[in-house]
Amino acid sequence: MNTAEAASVEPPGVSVALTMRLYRGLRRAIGTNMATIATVIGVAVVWEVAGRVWNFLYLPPLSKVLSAMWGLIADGTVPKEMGASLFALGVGMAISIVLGLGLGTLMGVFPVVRKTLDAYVDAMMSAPTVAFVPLFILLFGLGYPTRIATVVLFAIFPLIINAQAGARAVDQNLTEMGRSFGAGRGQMLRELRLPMAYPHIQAGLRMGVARGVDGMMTGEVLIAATGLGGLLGRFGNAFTMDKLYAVILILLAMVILAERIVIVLGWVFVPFGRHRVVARPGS
Amino acid sequence: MNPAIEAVSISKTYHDLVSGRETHALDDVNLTVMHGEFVCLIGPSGCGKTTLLKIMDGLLPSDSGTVRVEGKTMVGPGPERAMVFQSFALMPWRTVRDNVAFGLRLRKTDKSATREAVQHYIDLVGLRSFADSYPDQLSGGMQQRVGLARALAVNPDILLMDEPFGSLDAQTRNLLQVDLERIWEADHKTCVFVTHAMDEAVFLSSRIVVMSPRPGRIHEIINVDLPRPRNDQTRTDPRFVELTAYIWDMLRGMIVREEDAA
Repeated sequence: MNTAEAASVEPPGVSVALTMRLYRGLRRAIGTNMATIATVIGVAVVWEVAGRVWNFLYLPPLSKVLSAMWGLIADGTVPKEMGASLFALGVGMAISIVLGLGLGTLMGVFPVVRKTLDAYVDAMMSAPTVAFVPLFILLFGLGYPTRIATVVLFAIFPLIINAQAGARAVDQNLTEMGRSFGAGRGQMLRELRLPMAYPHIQAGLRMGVARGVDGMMTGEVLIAATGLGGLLGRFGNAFTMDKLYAVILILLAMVILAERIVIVLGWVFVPFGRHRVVARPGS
Repeated sequence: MNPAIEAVSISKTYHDLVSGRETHALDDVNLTVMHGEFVCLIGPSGCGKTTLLKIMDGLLPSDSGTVRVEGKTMVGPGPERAMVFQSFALMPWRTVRDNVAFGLRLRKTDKSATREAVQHYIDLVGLRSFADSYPDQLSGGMQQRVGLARALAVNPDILLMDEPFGSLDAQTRNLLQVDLERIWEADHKTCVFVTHAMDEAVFLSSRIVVMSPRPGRIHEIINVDLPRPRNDQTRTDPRFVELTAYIWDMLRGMIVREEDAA
């Protein structure tokens, strides 16, 4: 590439720059990873062939599953239940992100807060969170509050832990440089601390979203009446395996998509999202 | 000529909280740097040269003594001083252009003036084709060119450099010395440059301040009378060779004493 020429042209306007970032972000999101594509095709072929050869109740061929999926989408079953699920997920994630990043930052900045809460956060991070869902049902009933609370319970701890790590990820060389150039408190935060914390925050968001979807499903399966989780129970109990697999595939796609969305939003809207390297060891 | 920056009876002791040991980094150091002077601080490790430079920038407090900039007692980092760091201290998430613009961005300089200044200094340090690269796409020498451009971009009166070429290989270092000399010749900015390389000190300096360790003190100040502008021929000048050897003799004496003491 002729970089000398690129450097001499006028810097592009904001909208052009944003479009370029969006374009690059999408290209990276879709990726050109041939191995992944090959694996997906391979699994699909094996599934289809195995399903046809064995003619086994628990393994309908992929083509049947896909046509069942199309049916469920076309007749409005999946869109309706998915809307309900996504609503719980969205509200739950919003609460988790605000509370999780807030608490995590406080824990990172103030040792007292960290010492007070560390044990609980660690315990809850690895505790079987599903144990709390029956309690939520007793407390909040069978509606949205329980489902939202379950999402929060699943999603918030990785967010707290990573925000805390982010707040503590300080490259002394860079903060010294900032002081030398006369950065004030706000500038230090905006220009240096936040970008240094961002890779951790992004990791927390990815884990949080994935676990949030997990929580949403767990809640719905246990409540067994609503959402995609409700569909799982219904199709499972009726042994309509093609529909059951269809819902499972949709769920997998949702998790992957949700995680990708977090990453792409980072590339597009966070100016320092491109480089995930934080600290470079000083010599 | 007036003093640009003066260190007046600066002392500094580091206390290691774990071992309880005290290191006498600087003991009653006095140094006056005139306008347009290029002064190198050189000495064995532990002589407090970097400490002195950081105190002069306002990054470290001294235990006693004052630093005066343009005759006024200084209390912290200021816009008339800019520093180039040994670790480069570049923001890995920003392009060369945005790294160079850092100081101007903090000072809320208007956009078009910033863009112009940034381009000027990027060109000056020879990074025109890399303006939109990220630091990790550049070699060490190029990264320090960014560090230099960032310091120059705020147009400071005094440039403080903390072993800026210390982590570079000898060839790259020679190139950067010549470039720094060329840049310095353009406006003779006051420079205080910390180094541990004898030839580097002789090549760049108007005066060399040789410091001795434990406690850090000024051992001798040497005037470098080599003609300017200096270039690669300077390195073969008999006077250059002589001065380099003279400084090495002095430093070797200190290092050998240290080794014996250890």
